[in-house]
Amino acid sequence: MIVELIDYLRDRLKSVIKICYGVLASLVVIDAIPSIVDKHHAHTWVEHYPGFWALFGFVACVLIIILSKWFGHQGIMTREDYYDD
Amino acid sequence: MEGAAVANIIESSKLLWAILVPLAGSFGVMFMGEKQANLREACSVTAAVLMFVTIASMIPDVLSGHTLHFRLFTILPGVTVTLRADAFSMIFAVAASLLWILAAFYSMGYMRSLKEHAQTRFNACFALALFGAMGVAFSDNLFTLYLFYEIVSICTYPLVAHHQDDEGYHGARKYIVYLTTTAKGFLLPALALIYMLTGTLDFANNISTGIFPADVNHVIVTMLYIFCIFGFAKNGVMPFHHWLPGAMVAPTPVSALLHAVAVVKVGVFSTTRVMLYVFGVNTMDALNLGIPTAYFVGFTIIMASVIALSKTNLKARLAYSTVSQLSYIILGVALLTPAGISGGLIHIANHAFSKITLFFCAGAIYVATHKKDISEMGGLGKTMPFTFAAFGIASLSMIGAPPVAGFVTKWYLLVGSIQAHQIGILLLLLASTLLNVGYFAPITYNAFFGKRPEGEKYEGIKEAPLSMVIPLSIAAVISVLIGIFPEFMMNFVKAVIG
Amino acid sequence: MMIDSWLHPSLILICGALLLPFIKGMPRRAFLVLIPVLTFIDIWQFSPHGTFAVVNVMDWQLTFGRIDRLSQVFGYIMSLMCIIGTIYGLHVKDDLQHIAAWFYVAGSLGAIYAGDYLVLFLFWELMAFSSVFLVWFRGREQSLATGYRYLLVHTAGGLILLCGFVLRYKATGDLSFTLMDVTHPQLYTYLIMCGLILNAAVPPLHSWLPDAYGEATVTGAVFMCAFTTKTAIYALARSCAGMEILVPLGVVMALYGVVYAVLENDCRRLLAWHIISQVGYMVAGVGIGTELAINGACAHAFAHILYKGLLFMGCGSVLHMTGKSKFTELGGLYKKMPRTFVFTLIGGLSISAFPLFSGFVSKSMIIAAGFEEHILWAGFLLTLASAGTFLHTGLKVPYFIWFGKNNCSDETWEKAEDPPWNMQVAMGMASFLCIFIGCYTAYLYDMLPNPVDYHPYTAYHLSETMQILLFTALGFFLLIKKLTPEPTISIDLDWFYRKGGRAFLWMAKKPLQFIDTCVGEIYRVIGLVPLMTVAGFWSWFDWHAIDGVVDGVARSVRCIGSSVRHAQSGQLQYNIFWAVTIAASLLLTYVFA
Repeated sequence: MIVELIDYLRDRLKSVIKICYGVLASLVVIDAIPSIVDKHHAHTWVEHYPGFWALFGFVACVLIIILSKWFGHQGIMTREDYYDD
Repeated sequence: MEGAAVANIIESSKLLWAILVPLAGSFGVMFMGEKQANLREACSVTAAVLMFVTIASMIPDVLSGHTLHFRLFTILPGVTVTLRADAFSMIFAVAASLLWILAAFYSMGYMRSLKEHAQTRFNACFALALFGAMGVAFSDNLFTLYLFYEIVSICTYPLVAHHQDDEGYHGARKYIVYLTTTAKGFLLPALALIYMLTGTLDFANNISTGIFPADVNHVIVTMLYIFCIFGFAKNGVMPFHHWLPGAMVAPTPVSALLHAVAVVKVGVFSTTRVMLYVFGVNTMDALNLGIPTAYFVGFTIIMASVIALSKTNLKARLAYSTVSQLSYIILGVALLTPAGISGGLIHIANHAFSKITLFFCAGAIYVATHKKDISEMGGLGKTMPFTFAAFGIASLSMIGAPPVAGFVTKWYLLVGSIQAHQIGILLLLLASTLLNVGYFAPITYNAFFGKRPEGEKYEGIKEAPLSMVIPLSIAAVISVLIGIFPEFMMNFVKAVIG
Repeated sequence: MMIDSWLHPSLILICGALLLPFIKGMPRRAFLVLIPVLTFIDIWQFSPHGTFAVVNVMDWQLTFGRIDRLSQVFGYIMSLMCIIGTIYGLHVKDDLQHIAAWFYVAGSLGAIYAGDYLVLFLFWELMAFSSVFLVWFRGREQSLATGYRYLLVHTAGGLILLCGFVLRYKATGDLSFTLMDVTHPQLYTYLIMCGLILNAAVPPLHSWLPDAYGEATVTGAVFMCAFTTKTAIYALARSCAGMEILVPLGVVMALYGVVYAVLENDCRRLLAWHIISQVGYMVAGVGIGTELAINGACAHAFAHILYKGLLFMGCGSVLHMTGKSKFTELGGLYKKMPRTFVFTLIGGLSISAFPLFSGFVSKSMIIAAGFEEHILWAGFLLTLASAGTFLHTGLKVPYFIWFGKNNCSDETWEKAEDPPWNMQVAMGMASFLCIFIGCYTAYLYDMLPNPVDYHPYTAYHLSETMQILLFTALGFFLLIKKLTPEPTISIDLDWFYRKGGRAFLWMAKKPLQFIDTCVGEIYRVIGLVPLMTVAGFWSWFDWHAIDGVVDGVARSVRCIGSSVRHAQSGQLQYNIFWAVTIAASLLLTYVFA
């Protein structure tokens, strides 16, 4: 049953992606509406910008991937039998 | 530190019996000879049990604060052969006599399984060595101590050389030369000088005062102290420790009882007896002898543990472990604080039970498989589970993990080093614990989880004979018991400190 | 219910473990489930708050049962996890593995209910020595060495802890396991903290965790991920709450784990790095020390035990069925192991703090506490780490195992299917709890040590979380090429002691042993040879002329010595001559000095 559901979604991958983009856009829009999202508990001024956390999440993800891979390729990543005698 | 009040002294011939029983036992063994092998073993066991019973009968008196006393003969004014039983002697005597019983059964199993030659000579010398050890335990003065100390050296020589092959003679020669040279080279002159300086060789009645009058030249006393530390080479302090690994050529029951319990304990017992009852805590404090000694033997502790890491012969590794553990005892006493001295003295008993278990296991492995090297013992735990389980438990004790006996020692030594304000000693103890894990853990886990060496088949190998497995299991169980209930031995230690 | 005495739950587990080998056949599985259930019921219903099981040993008073809200919340979840873990391992026939696991949990529970440091230390060592078996039982070539390293590292940690509380005992005379004076930390405060953070796997003392957890047995890893680190968090919360240095340590930890997880190819090691990351939140929470922060640390620990267990169970199922755990050898498995996929996904969503899942109501408490105390850098960095968490466990793990490029060999593909019923039941139980906690917050919140005034389901919080998570997902899918798994390992701080350990052993073998052998030979070169020469010189010295002690002793020694029928006995006489020389010269010096 699970497999069927997943296959169903995979067959319609293009529409699934479109829906996802739609959800992402609406998130940012909703964030900008004060009556739905009440930000007066926010601790910092940056958070009042609509879509701040969206940007934060995206940048965080990209940063982590790029920085970690760079760090790894500096020499931290090595062949699997490095410790074997 | 307050010294105890003058102890009540009771004249008792039980002391004489305690040391004559093993002597008689050895004559009995020699009398029975090869023809009556079973009667001969019975003689050994009977002597062991009788000796233990005699010593046990002295416990109530000693614990209620009395000291037992018996004079044998006088040689010069102030130089006698006299015996005493105080709380300090009992720590060693009780442990050693109990272990002799276990060792008697064990050596029966070992010697018969391997069909060893000269079993009569073996058993006779074994008993004689215990005779010497008990004499040391119950010495009332330096002369008696020295006398019995040398008796132990000589009576154990045939045991070390037992196999009578090149290796045996070599090891035995190293053994006797080290021990007798240091004894005669360092101890005899020290004895003579002490007699000159103080007019007596008798031990004090408490651990504080010592026997030196206050006006003795400090340099001489320090020199005498150094001579005594090195003179009792059975204590395994580097650099005169080589006799110990050299003596491993002996059959394992010898290594087990004598070199884990009797001979080496005679060494540390004598050393600590002299430190506390000849020099005394006050003198040692005043001359600042304690802490330097602690650091000096600390070197032995660490170095011996490191060398043990590099040895793959099981008995060699255990020998170096013994060298290291003996110095714990001296270190504890050298700290000169109540907790430190407690830790050092209780280790005499704790180490005895645990180390004998380890040697018993080594012997059992040899009897069952003829293997001596750790790298060949992979996977052996599945066929010899009791042996290796006991080995694991005893290793835990050496490492000092609760609730086994070694933890009690470690705790007291740690508290003692803090009482003496020596963080360096604290760190040293912790480092050596880590080293202990380093060289003990692989033996056990390799046995249970390791792979069999290439081409080895373990068919036909089963556990060693019951006469060996039972004593080693009992010894392991006792190690755990005195870890959970340390009060029994601690009563003696507390009486010593006063 | 009025109860005066209390049965220590560890006793139930230990007795159960010792009885297990005697129970065979049909009742065995029932017994395996029964014992953890009994333990759980004991903690849940029969453990009133107070102090119990005080034992006097020698000069000390050992407290085995200190029950209050803090210990109860941990005891509750740990015994619950024990049930789930045992069910997961129901198929394991080897009794010793179950015994090791139960002793391990018994050690954890014992540490949690300990009232003083000696008891804590006892159970700390029990945990280390029993969990190492869970690594050794894996039985691969490298398992032995990994377990050995694990044992050494944990022994060292235990010793640091021992050193710390012995020093504290000397300074304060107090062995009781309570909050220390963290505003004026002494050497011993730091030492105790170091001993605890080693078990919590705080960098730089963390390398043992990915090393060991990646190498443990399939069922063993499920146990290990739950207990050692969380017991350490409990201990930190108990004794070091509010210790400021823990905040930066926790934040660094959270980020460190995330970075190494990006590079990791083995899925279980990746999860292990994630443990480090998540425990970083808890450490930071303990460091912040306010009521909300401690609540957060406890809630997060509670939820983490469940969802990390679930994740390890999911990846463990893959390992169990296919024998593989590396991304470069898996992929596209959703067709063959759909249920495992769903369970793992639930675990991933929980850990990422998706709304309706347990992480959402727990992790955010810590971040909120950080912001409330105006430790803004901590708050933002921890949120950044949250993005990383979703990236790895919510996206990378499910994607590269169940979707993505199919790197499976034919054999792997053949073997892959959903695991046995017991493993699925266990995963189902954990999944249910993850969702339940997320939806019905009162269940968890009522158990927390401090009163809870936190409401996670605000519109702002929901918006914030969904934005972070979904835009992270966007980043993931856009950069997916960069994340293709590579078959490598990553070097970490354990390089120092792995390479260093080898150097140490080499040094012990070669130079030191050489020196020792030399010293031994000195006796021959310096001792015997001159001895013979000097002995010859003194041979005319009639030792009858020396009276007294030495003479009498020498005579008796020679008498006994003559019974020694080997040639070497001759040397005894030479020794005597040598000693007499020394004695004579000493006497002369003394007399004339």
